[in-house]
Amino acid sequence: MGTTNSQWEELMKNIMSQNLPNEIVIDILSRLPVKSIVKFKCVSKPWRSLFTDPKFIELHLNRAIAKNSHCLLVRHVADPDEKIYSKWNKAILGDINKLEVPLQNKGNNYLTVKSGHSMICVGRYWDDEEIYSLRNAETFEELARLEVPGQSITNYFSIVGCSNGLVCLNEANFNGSYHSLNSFFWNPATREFRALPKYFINKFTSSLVVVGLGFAFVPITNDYKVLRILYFIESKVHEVEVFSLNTDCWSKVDADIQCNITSQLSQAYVNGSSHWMATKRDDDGNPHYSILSFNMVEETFGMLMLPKCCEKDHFPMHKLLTMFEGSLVVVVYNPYQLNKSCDIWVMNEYGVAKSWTKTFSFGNEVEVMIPLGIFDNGEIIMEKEKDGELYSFDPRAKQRKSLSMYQPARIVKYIESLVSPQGRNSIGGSVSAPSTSQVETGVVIQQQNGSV
Amino acid sequence: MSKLGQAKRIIFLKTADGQLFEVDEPVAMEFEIVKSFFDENEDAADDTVVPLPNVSAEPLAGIIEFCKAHVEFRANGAAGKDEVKKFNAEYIKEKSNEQLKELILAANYLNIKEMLDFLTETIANRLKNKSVEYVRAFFGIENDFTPQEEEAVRKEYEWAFEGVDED
Repeated sequence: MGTTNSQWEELMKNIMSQNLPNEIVIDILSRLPVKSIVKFKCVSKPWRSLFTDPKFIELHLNRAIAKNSHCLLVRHVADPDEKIYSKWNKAILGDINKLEVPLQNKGNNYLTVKSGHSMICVGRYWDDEEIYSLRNAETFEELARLEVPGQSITNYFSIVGCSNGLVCLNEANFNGSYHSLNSFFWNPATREFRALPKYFINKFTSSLVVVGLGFAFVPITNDYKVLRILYFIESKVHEVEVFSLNTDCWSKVDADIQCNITSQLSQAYVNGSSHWMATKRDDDGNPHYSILSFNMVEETFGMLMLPKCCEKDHFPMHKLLTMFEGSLVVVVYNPYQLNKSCDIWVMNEYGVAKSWTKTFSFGNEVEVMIPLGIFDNGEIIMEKEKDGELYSFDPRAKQRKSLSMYQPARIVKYIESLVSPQGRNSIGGSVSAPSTSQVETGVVIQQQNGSV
Repeated sequence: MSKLGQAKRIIFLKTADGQLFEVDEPVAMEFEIVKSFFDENEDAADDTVVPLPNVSAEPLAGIIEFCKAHVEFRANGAAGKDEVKKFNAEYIKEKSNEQLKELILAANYLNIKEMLDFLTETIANRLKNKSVEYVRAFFGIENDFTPQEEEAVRKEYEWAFEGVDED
């Protein structure tokens, strides 16, 4: 994979500026914004080749990382309905062992699961327009509106994650008799978009829940991987699948997951692994909390301990698993306690349970605010429980600022790059049609009709 | 740091067009090529003239101005501050593309990393909103597309051509 030195030499030879050495020309070009590079594809044929060369793409990306030109990619709905919000708010899965089959859904265009729902991929929840935008990471000011170039069946993509400028989207279509679960790679800067190959979920008649999704760049093999963990409600088994851009296919991972992921949204990618908050029932039937990890390189699962204080309690939605400065962080919050204290725990040494340290506590909010994540500057993304309005909260200054948007929303860190969703074996072609050679993935969940 | 009372050492540099420059030692040591000349010739006499056969007087004067200012910024602990940004902005403001190219070639030869980074970044900023033709002319690149091929590439990436500055 990648460019051999001789290919690079050849490229360098052909860049041929009459005024400047090639190293300098490449240095200058690697500092250009993606849009300019796309425009300059028609300067000459060698330039066009250079701009799709993995070595140049890497140089350009590293330059952007060094300059710290990160911003935020945000997806939210234009005008959320309060009724939808009240459902969304319960975005926890609870104990999936107790799910009733079939999953009932009355009069709503989305799936509800007992005490709530966890699925990012349950078809369409709302009729409002979805808005994708880039925001300044400090001020949250809107920098650009984006359009997803791909056609969606449900008009609803969810963001699985974002790495090196490549965004992974997921779409679940639970309408119709055959249901599908599709993933997409999208580079908003180059406007390239592709559907990943379809993958069978071979239990056509089983109701299933997507309990975990992950997307990451794996530096050691220079690969981009998508992970999805499905739970079959009737057979009570998990199925784990990984897509690799290097091989351009999905493969099944043998795994015996003995716990339940409590919330798909409480997720962190740290140290080459995806992590989720998980529960296991002890002999007395009480939930015991820990962290489920999946190593994206080895493709193996593991368990990590939580701070002692959060191993047992009954409010899973108020333990947020997230990441800050490269470490796993758990934000513990009980809004129903009198002093409404919120504790931030950091796992200083990865994998070492003893290294959990309470770094910060804050409280005294009058309104019930639920933590959703942490910005790079240490401010906490909070959601007002009453109406789902999002805030950034500075725990030290105890000041909060409205982000002028409501749940359901998703905020991920983004950096523009030339990384191609096509993988290295099939460079070229900006939009590829979804693969049609395989049968639609079949998942049957109780038909949902009606509208919100 | 020179000791109190000790005269500042001056380095003599001779350009391709035969001009002799007298440069304060800390400024000359910014040039990797000069630094390694003295590292390799430890016993070189103080009045040794370092020949710079690939640099002419005009860009060298510009480079000395830049490096002198930056050596002072560092000595005053102002590195990275607004003062530096202001100086840098002023420094390039009146420079033509041709002058920038000469500076970059000279800075490349003298091997001055900080200045080279600044110059390439400056050029990238100047070029990013320019037309394809402008960029070809800037670098002296021959267009090897046929008109049909070029049209096809332009069409494929039409969106990238919005907001192109006038040349």
